[in-house]
Amino acid sequence: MRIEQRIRHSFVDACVAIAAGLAALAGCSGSSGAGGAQPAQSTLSSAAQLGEKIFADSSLSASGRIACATCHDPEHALASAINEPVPTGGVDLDIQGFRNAPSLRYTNLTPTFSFNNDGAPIGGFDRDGRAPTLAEQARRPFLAEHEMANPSVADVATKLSVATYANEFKRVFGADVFDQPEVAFDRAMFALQRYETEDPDFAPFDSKYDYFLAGKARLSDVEMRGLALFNDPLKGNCAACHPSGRGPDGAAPLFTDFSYDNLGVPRNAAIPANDDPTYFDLGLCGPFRDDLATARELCGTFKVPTLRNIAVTAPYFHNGRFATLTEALGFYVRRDTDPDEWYPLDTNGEVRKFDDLPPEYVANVNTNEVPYNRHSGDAPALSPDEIAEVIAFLQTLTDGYHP
Amino acid sequence: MPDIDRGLFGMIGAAALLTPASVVVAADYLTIDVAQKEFFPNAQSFEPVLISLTPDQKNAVVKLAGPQPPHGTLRIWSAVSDGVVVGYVFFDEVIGRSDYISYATAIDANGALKAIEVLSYRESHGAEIRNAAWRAQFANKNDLAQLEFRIDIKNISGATLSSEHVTQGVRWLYALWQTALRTTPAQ
Amino acid sequence: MHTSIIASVRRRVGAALFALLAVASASAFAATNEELEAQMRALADEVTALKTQLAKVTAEQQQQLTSTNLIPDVSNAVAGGSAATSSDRGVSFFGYGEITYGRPTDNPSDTTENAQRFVVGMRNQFDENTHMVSELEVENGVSSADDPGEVEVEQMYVEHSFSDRLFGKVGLFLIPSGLLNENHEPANYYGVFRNRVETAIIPTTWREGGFLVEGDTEFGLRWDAGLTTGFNLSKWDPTSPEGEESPLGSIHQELALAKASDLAGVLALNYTGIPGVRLGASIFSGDASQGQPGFDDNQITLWEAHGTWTPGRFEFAALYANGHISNTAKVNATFVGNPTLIPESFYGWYAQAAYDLYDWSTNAIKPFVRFERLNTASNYADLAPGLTPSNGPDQDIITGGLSFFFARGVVLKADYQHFHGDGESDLINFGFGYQF
Repeated sequence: MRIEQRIRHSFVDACVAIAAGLAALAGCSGSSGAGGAQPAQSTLSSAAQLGEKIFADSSLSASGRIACATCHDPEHALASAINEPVPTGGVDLDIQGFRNAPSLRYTNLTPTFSFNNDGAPIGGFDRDGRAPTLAEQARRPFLAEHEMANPSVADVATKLSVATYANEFKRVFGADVFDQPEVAFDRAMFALQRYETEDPDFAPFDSKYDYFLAGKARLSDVEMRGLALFNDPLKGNCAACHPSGRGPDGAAPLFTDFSYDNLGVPRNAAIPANDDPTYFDLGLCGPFRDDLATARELCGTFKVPTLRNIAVTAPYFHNGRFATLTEALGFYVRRDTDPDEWYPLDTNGEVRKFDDLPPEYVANVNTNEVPYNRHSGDAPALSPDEIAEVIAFLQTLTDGYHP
Repeated sequence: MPDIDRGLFGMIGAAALLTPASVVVAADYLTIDVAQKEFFPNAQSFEPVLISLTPDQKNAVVKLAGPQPPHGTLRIWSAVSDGVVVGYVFFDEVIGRSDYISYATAIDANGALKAIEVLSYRESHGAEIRNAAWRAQFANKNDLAQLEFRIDIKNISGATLSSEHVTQGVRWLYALWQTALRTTPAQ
Repeated sequence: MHTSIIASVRRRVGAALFALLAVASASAFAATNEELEAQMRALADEVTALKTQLAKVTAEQQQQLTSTNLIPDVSNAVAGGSAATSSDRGVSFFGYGEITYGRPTDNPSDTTENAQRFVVGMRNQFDENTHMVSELEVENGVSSADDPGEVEVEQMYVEHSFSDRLFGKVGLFLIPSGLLNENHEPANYYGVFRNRVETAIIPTTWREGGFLVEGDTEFGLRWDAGLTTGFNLSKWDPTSPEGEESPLGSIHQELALAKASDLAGVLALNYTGIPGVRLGASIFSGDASQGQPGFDDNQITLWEAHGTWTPGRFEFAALYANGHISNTAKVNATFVGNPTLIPESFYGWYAQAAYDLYDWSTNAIKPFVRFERLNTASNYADLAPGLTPSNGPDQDIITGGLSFFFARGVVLKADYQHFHGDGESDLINFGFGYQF
């Protein structure tokens, strides 16, 4: 993976140079500012080129109106352009989902799900890490009722066989590939995985921060102060889960260590499933994966996402509870010092903290690490001014910077 | 006078056959022959000396000089001048930091030590024992009490093992001389 | 009392020579040439026979002397070797070991006893002028993924003597810096634990790979000059306290897949011309950026000066070391907020006195006292206002204790250490070490 990063990075440098020349031409597309006219098209394998087409093909959905690219918009850091907590899908585009659609940027660098030496879970695709590969992960949205809502695999295969690129599909995967719908669907998922892995738009590493790390840009004083607060283990301590430094051998930081954490994010009433007071999204221990149902201490934990492009991928957290970074960071530092700012009051007027967890799992919430290790009445780890400085820094993590 | 010449030649030839072979030391610094002549320039010959100690003598040497680090080859010669023994020359090998150090020293008839000569030292660590000033510390010492390591013979910082072992070696030679050579004339 | 057989042979030979002389002079005019020749041959035969007997007797005497332990058998001293002369010695082994016990007075529950170091060394003599030295070390007892120990190759070099006074080393070897680095065996330093200046500022046991030319002069100056691997600044971890404990110790490479696009040079001088005195200094300098992304032109220079003096029963030692890293501001800008940024300079010095209180045979008791001062981050390069870390504190350490040496290679130690400046607890330490 590091080699791919390197290839991407040096490729990105080349793209910047080429894009400068091609910027005048009309062929510039793609949200990556350095990507420009995609002269890289020719470097994608034939499977990846098919994957790119499948990714954008809304004819593959039951409604005929949504594709992967709808909720993972290439113009919007591969996240949803609409600031809604959960996306809408289904046959008639009227069913709301359960979780916020994440940005697909840098997701191709996620390690496989496993437990490390300390017994802590790491990696895996989806917010609960249940998909072992990108190809596996791609299956569900095609078939999920609240997403592209195809009734069956065969249905998707049929749609593929009449797509505009069907002949290309047959050329790459065999003339008789559509005779076996299961196989055709698998090949399509494979093609998507190749596209997500090979296309440089999925890991451009061309944010202002990347240029700063390379010594080609300077951060402003406010951004530097924000970075300092981000790194300081006694202030924001964000780097503890969102590492900001280079890895060994100079690998660029991904701003996630792919670990899992339970922050006790407040329940989001905007998600229809939450109308049922007995429904709880417990992340690693369910309801969308069942292999860890007995690991009770993992209930309520979700995977740490990357902070790259965070400024343009609102809303935040697995349930899309916060629409702005100011709210999200305010929650981090004042969750415990001012809980009534975030949680509802119960009938007695007491704050119901961690209301998105059944009572038996409230103890799983992380209350040990800075900055959410305070108590009611303590001073929060960051003042509102400091939060603004951290946000200024977070904005340097948006790809497409031009030095 | 061809006959007398033949006779003389025969004498010299016979004498030459009896001269002990020079000790060959692997060194390009100093050979034992040169060292012998430096110690006793006036001596005409150096006779190898072989001694075996009685158990009592052995104990006495150890008691005087203490237990010794490993030795290599040891050779002793008496320096003879005009038929009189004027001193003894010693060739000894002790372990330095990790290799043997060959050195030579001498004791004259009055029991005074000469400065030691290092004949072979083949590594950089501890090579400071070859410094003239350090070697000169042994000169004119005529009692074991004057050969205390670190006090009379200074340690070389960074060459402690070499300097300590050579000092112990010299002490032992001196004790040997005191015990077995001082009272025994060579012929 | 001892009539040497050799002496009796000599007397016979002397008599024969005298007889020859007498015969020659007496018969000079009387004997014919043939008779003289015949007599000469006979005498020559007898001389040859005597010489053979002399050699045989000498060998027997040697044997006797060996068996009475007057001259110990050389082969006993060399493991596996049976060489008669030193230059023929093949393989030999050496090594050292230390066990330490440290008890913090403020929190005794942190008391630790540790198999600090176990080192086996091997030396092979290839020919008269060429030998190889290697050392393998195990630290902290047990080395595995779950245990705190480490196994490492501490040295691995070949040394060749070009002449009596000129040597060359190639391989992995100790850098000639300070008093402790090249002489770090337990009986060679005072105190259970090595002094902090030569642990945190000079990263003992500091070794690099490359080559070194060494020489010494008649009047007592030893010099070393070499080209070796250097440090790798991209190993600096700003989230870890390691860099604050020992800046160079946290980025040294130990020839373990070391980045070597930038090498370093070392120069050392040591004067021991006056017995009992040693004065020396060294400098090591190299670019530590190693072409890594984000690092550029970070020159690390470490220089030190030291002296020892042993008047009478005293032993005095003093050392000063100073390190500098250039162009740290650019890298530190990417580390802001983290606990441990890269310092621009660090230094340390110490003064130590020991006294030979009592010694007998191969044993000695020596008390000692040492004062150290060090600062692992005495200055940081300026960053933006409010972001430059404040300079590190001066750490003062006073150590007082006792070493008991016995059997010329074994040492028992005890000492008390007081720390001032970084809140560390006082320590009561005991130690045991051997070296051979």
